[in-house]
Amino acid sequence: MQTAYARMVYERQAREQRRGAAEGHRQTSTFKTILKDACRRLIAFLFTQVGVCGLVVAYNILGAFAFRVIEGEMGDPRPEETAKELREQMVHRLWNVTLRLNVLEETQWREEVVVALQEYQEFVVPLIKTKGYRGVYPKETWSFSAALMYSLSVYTTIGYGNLAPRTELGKITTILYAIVGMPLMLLYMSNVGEILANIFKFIYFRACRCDIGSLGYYRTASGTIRPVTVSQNGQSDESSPRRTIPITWCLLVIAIYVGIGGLIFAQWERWSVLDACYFSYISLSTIGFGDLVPGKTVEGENDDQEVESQQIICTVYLLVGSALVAMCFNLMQEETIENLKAFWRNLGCLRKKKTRKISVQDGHERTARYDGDG
Amino acid sequence: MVERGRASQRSHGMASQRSYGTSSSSSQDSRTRCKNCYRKFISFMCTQVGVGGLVVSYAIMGAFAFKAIEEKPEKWMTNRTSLIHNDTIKKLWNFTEHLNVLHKDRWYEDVNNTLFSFQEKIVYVVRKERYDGRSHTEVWTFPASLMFCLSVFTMIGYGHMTPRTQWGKIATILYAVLGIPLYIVYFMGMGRVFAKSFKFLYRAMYRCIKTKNKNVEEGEITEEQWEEPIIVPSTACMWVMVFYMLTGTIMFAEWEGWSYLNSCYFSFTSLAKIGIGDFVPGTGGAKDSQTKLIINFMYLLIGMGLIAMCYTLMKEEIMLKLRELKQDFKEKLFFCGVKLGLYVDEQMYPEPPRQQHMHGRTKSMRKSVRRR
Repeated sequence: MQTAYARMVYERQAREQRRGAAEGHRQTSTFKTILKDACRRLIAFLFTQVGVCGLVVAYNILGAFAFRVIEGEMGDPRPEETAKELREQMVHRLWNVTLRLNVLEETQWREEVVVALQEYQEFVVPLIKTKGYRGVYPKETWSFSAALMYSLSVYTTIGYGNLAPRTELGKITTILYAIVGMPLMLLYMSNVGEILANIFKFIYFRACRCDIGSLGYYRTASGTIRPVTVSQNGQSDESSPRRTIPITWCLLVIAIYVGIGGLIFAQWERWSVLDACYFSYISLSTIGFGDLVPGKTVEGENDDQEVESQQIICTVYLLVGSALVAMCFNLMQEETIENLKAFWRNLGCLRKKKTRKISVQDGHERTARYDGDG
Repeated sequence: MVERGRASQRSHGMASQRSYGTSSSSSQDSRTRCKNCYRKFISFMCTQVGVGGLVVSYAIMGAFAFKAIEEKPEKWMTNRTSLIHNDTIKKLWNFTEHLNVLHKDRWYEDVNNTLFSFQEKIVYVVRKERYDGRSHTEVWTFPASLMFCLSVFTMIGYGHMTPRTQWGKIATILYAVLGIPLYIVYFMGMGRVFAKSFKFLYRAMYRCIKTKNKNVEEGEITEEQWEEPIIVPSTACMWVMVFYMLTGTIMFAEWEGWSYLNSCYFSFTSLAKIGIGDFVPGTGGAKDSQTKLIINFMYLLIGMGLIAMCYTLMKEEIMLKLRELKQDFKEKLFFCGVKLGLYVDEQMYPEPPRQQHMHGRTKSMRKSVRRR
């Protein structure tokens, strides 16, 4: 391998020398090459694992700042204004009702007030559902940590919806943010997922304190690990190949992570454990309904500072969780491909038995050898 | 290998038995017929049509299940709001009764505060406990449940309708655990099918355009065509996606009366599987909202297929570029290592041609070049 790299180095040096000769002026060429070099080095570094993690976190924080300004400070307060007007109208109306009934008859007064309240409710509910009215002005809703969670929900495609952009600029920014953020997220998941998968395999094979062979795997010439279909070596006497262990281990890891999240959020948000596990699972699978989201409750039970730190920790939890999900996909891919191949082989085996009936006695050894390899 | 040999011997034995026409052959015949049917069924299910049908039937089954689970009349909801009402009215009556000479300003202030707290409670009930003005049966209609199931296993997750009962939540988790892998299989398969047909279309169009532009003999064209492998560029995929989003934008803007920006925002967030849920077609309560929901369903399924196609087609190009960047980085690392003196064996790499004036060096360089 080193000679190949050596050749690359040689070629690149030749290229640079040619470029330098073509450009002539030594000073500018070195500066340009330095700049180009630096750019290339930066991009190459960014695509390593550390770079991608840092990039994702930086992108998240950038989005949080952007949305905080766009939707918080330059936000659209129309639903809140509408609700305030409605309230004032309602107060006027109640006053008129009270004035009209000179001798305060409770029952009649109550009837009219009930009707008034019902109408008021019917105005407010659509305002809450379709216009996103929450009782607080956008400046307070879109705090830094809330904007952080919103940005996360956009580029991980979770998409909670408890906070939604109201302004036009906010919607356009959401679209652009998603277009740039989703490939970045895919890159993050594939890179970090690969690392975590390698770490997990390493720990797993070490923890078993056993060779790969005795687990029912063997290494082919190209280096891939394949499960043993038939007892080929004399070693694997406990020869029922325990292929399915890795899949259950992956699912167990995800289940434990969901459980941990469930316990944490049940404690903080005063949800039931089922609700908290439901929230963790729905978020990690990027479904993201948004009916349960950590944040301020209306009655103001939680402290502001507490809520902010909880939301930031939730963001970190979801980022790490996405990496774990990517790791499990990475690990399960090989397993499922092997299982599918075996399954197809079994189906094919039924088929092959029929067609090779005739010429079986001549070449049954040949066919057998072919099948064992594929 | 050994097993296969034995198996083929067994089948040979069966064949020889069959040729004699014994009574056992008829039962074996029916058994093989059963196996045949079973095999054909499984191989059909593993094709794209089978998986697509499986996905649709899974969605329909889920719609029925959620409709049944969530449609229970929940009396506690109406009780809850009437409790809030009673509470508020009691407070208002207290204010009205106590102020004998009705101080308008004081009364206004108190009533305003009471109404504000009433409003906050309504907000809480609507947002946290998902209170709806409508009854359950109106909310969980069949098309709406279908959209809900779709939003679960496609991982969009609008959230405009969510399960409220305990069983509903558990059922959602189980439905997602089974549905998401099924959907991913469908997604990858659809991507491949669409990618193949798109490549075919693209090549056909490319050849048409080429034959129009170049008026040369047929022999030369076919040679050229067979020489260059036509790769679909990423820009073509992007154009397809943009066109599909525009179609969706116009369609939803016309039907739902949204502005074009809102429509575009909805199409994008749905196709990108974000699914914020502030805009959902078919929830306006209009007359033909049910058909709109189903059309939205079809639009999203086809859109997902197109995205899978773009992903499949662009993956190769992106992988190539990423690999180039990785090589670049590895090269840089190696170069740094060389500078740091990690690779001591000088004969592993030659000197650059600049220092060619030393005869001995050039000979060794020429030798190493020839070796490669």
